[in-house]
Amino acid sequence: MSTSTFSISYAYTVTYVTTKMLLALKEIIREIGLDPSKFTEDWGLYERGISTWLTSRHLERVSLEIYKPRTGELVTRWDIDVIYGTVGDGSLWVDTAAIRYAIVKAGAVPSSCDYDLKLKNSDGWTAVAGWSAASFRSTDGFKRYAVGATIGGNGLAAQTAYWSR
Amino acid sequence: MSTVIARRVAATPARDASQTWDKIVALLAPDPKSEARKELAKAAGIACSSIASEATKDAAIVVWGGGARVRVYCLFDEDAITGDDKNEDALPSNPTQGDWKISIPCLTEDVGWSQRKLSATCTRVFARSVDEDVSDGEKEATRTSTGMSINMAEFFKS
Repeated sequence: MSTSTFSISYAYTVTYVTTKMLLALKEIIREIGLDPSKFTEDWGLYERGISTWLTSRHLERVSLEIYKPRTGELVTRWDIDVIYGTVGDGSLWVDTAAIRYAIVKAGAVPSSCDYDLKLKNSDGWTAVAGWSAASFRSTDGFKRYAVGATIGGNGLAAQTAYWSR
Repeated sequence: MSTVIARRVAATPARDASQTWDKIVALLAPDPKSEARKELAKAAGIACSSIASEATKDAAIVVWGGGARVRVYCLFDEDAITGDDKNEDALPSNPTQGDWKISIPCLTEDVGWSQRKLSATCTRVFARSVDEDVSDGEKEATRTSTGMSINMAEFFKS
């Protein structure tokens, strides 16, 4: 776990958490055996959506769906759930070890799989260019495994979980 | 004797990765309509991945071949907020003219796919491991941003 200790604004926390969320997702993609290239192509778009809706406190969850391209069937899903109003010690932190341990436990997926990033917002969110409405693939038959809190800052934290059959 | 200029750009949490890359691009290719801007824009995703991983904290983004060699580092966490070591001053000359190239440091495990991606879209942008440096031109001499030049070979002889 890396920790920085200094007083920090909510705006800085939003930038930090957004960056670490995307970094964690890129590492998940790479470590489960997929190519992160497609993910990096839309890095700026992802930043704009996540940071905008973290700032307005509408973002509830960031999900990475891994699916079979031919059928669209879900193979696994990684969730990063947002928790607002957390009380911390004023530091920014990320637990990369917990994320990496969970990746090992979750295991690799076939290299033929594709992936999508999807966000879940609460009601009242405002539109961000490049983002459109989408539905989540079914998780019927899957079990959710909690990893725990993995990213945090001033008034904001993120918990990671993954789905597996 | 080659000249090396260093810049230190504030990154997370003062800026997100895209904003940080935009700032670096503005330093390296000041003309918004230049071909260099277009080339660097194509590398944005890989650059953002590198910045987000903090690979650019201790390993520089290096530009060479178009004039002075430029090394750009990023500041993170408290250093990015306080900006005490920040140096985002405009460069004395445009380093992305002529036969320029740029090397982006990546975590070792990111080098393979990053280089494949860059090879498919860019001709002047390359990925390297944070453990590697870019040639040895800067070993001959180091010129700071204040203009002071040090001949390292002569320095170590003294």
